[in-house]
Amino acid sequence: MHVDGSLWLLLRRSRLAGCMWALLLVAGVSGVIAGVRLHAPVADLAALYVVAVLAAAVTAGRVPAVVAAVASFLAFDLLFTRPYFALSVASPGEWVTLTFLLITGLVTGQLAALIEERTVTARENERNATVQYRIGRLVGNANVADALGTVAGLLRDTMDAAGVSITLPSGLEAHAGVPAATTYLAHAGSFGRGRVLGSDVAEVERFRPRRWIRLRVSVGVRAEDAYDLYRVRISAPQTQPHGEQAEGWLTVALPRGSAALSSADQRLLLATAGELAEAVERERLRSEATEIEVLRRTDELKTALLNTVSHDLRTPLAAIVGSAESLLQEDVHWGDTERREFLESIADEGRRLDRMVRHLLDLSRIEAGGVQIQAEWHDPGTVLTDAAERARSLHPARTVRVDVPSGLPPVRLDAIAIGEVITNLIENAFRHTPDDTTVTVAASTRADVIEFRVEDDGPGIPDDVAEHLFDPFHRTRSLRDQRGTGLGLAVAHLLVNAHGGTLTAHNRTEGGACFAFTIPLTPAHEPTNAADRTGATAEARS
Amino acid sequence: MSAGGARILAVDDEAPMQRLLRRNLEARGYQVETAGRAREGLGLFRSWRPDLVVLDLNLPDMDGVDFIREVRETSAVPILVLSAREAERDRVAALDAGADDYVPKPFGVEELLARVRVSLRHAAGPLVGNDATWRSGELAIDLDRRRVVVRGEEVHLTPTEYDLLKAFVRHRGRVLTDRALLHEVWGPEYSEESHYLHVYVARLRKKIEPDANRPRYLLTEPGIGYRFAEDAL
Repeated sequence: MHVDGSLWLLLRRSRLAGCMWALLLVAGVSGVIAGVRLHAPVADLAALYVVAVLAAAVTAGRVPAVVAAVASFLAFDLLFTRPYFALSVASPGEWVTLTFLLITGLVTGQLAALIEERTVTARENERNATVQYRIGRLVGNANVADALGTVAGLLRDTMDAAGVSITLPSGLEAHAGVPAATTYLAHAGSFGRGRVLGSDVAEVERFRPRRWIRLRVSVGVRAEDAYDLYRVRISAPQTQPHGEQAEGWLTVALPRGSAALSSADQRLLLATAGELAEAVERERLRSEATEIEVLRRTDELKTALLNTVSHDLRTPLAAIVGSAESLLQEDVHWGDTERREFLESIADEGRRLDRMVRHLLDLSRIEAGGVQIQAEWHDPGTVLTDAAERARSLHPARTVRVDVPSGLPPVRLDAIAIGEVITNLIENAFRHTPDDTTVTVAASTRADVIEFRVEDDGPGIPDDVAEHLFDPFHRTRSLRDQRGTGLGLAVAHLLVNAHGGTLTAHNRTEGGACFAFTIPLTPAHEPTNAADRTGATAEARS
Repeated sequence: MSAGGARILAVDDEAPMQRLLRRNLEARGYQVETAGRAREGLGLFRSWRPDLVVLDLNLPDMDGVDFIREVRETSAVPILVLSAREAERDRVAALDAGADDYVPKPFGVEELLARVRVSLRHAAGPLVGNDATWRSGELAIDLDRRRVVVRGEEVHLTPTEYDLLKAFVRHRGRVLTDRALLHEVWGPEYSEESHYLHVYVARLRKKIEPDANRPRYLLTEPGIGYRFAEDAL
């Protein structure tokens, strides 16, 4: 099947082969006439040559049809018209027959070739439409990079080419075809200059308006490694504002000696190149749009964050400035109580400001990926007790109970970071519970994690805030003074995530809130960059 | 109760800020109540009837702008907004909702006190001079100090009497219906209780008029209501 297909293609592509085929047909018909004549002296068998002309026209086209017609005329004149083997003709009646044969041959041959051409064109158009539709779907839907190889293979099969190579302006490549041609195609020369690296270019032929060229090249030394390359430019419709425009090529390799690319194949190549150029442009626009959207959202978030930060920093600042200015008032004589109150306000609010700035720095460092978790083996009980001790020293009025069972296994963690997490959680509990209640810190192992808990006897977490608990700057209104930074829980959340654990909060059935976080007992991998972790959680949460 | 300066209600959820406002305002002779939540503030506003409200926009239970709107439904009391909110649109929203002034945090104590004085002065409508005192003939009303002086002597007014007089002064020269006065001084739910008004007008006349039977200031407009004579001499 394939051999037959190639044979027909050869007849069509190669004019020489077509003409040889026409002569062969005429010879065949001549043989048949001679054979018939031997047995029965039939006077006029010239019409049989029309069969040869028709066959040549249908299988090989117009020129072979003309060749067949002329050859038929000559053959009949030389072989079957007296005097034999001479161009002269004895009887005037024979002249009529011969002329008639020539005219009939030429006309029917051209008509048949025309019909055949139309049929072929229709078939090719249908083929082009199908292929273009498939290519359009391939590059229109998916990522162009994924579709490129399929497109190259499809083109190669459709055009029965030796190889097809696609190089996009972005540098993306795909190849289909013989290996020698493949490697060659990828790097064969620049479009305009007609030079091909490492090989001879016998001829550069430019086709109309600069859309494409044909390169005649040889790869290697063997004759069958010689190809004609047809190359079409793939260029994005819009040039980049800066720098020169990158070029892409769609190259088809045909074996040397094939007929020129049919016009249907040319159309298919041009259409495909156009399709690819559009796909490249579409993809560029799409990625630009995505980039712009991401930038816009980031900007919005930054603005919102900045507004909140500036508001939250100004609040303690207002109390500090106001208290200090009050003390400086010359027309008022403050009593000891008032003076002390103002000074305490300045000290408290100053500390709050400091805490806020520290948390902000933590947050931005973690989010920028600047905080490395320094994990080492630690006794979880000691970490918990130290954090509770620190919280006690900062808030002497409050009671912290530590509940650590003996025999907890050592855990790999960053003691400073986890200490900060526990302190933040304890301070958060202090802020939201009455002074006379107790905050309990506890640790226990469960499956392959260790769980740290900070529990209080306060009013619990209101339903409406549970969702935003770990967002930066989200503050619930406590029954006590609102002294939080709005950042403590967000920082704790990020630090726990950086350890590969999770921080959760729930209301206890017996009343009060419980903040719990887990740390893996056997870390699957070295906890590394906090920012990687936060990125992953952000995705999981959204 | 009219002893002491103007009544100032400070609504701010930050305790240090509450303390700061209370100490400074009390040191200047004002009476101060503080509230940490909007609901509490609105309750105090209705029961205590302050002459000025100092308000922080960030409140735990209600946005400050909504607080302003709610107050403005029934009252023309001056509202001075204190806020750390930076954006121009926040200031505009507060002023549009009915706030009289906007002081950004952090603020200077002197500036705050000056703005308090300005707000109290404006509460009496346009006044000549730079203090918050309205004078006409032998009557002087110091809105800053909540003092009423008749013929050189301080007169003791109950809070309701004072509020009624303040309303008359603010709308001086204009005829006021019973309904409008009741709405402004007692609140919308008292709009029909004209006898309250008549009783208090009679008491006020006794306290500030040279002759209660032939009033110079508090004139009756038969069938309509009352008018406070602006240029009584």
